[in-house]
Amino acid sequence: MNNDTLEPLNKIKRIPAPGYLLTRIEGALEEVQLLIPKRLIFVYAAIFFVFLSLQIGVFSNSQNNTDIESYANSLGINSSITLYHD
Amino acid sequence: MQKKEEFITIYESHKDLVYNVCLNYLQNKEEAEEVFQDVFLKVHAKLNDFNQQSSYKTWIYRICINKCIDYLRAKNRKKRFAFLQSLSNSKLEIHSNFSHPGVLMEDKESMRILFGHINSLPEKQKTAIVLKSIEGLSQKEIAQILTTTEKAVESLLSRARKKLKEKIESSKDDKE
Repeated sequence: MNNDTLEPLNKIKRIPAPGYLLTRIEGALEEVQLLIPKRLIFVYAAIFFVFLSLQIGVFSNSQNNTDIESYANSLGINSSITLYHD
Repeated sequence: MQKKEEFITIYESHKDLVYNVCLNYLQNKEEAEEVFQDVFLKVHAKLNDFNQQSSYKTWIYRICINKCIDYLRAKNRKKRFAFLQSLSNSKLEIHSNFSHPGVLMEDKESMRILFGHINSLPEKQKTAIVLKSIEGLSQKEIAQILTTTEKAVESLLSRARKKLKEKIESSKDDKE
């Protein structure tokens, strides 16, 4: 009986895969490959941002140094860290 | 370049297999084409990782079945969000969009009902039935695809056939 129940399934014909499906897959693969440079752009942007924020930090530190320099000058102290002049 | 050539070779030798499994699992041409594409994108992405422990055929069957199951799960989730799921979930799940090009016109209605019963089976039982009764695979091949034992496949098939018999008989009783 069990075989009778499923017997109609034997009548299902095998269908060849349509040719346009390969074109679609190739298109999708190209899209995926185009996504990689976008990811690279994002990574480069992130690195640039980190670099920029470090630069800002250094710049602000150097500004603090000028404050220290003027304070040292007012006290008549040499603020330079070099021991000898060329 | 070498990878592309390898992919095309695999594609050419397995495209009909994948297309027919998708059709038999989803019973809808458009959905089968969508999943077919996903299967080969996955094959392309994982080609370098393929460890040759199983044959390409078994590996591709496995990807194909998993993609079909994922697709149906996602579709069911969407359905649940869209409306209240039909109250008789365990009953017959008849396809509203049944379009299997391999089914003859005169068999379409009876096949739609039969596939409705098959679709209401648990995933593993449905997979075993599709692979055995439509794809004509041996229990050993099915066991390799489902990464289980032949005994387990035999038990799955036996339970699936029993359930199908019950479902078909109860739907006949409902008609009478």
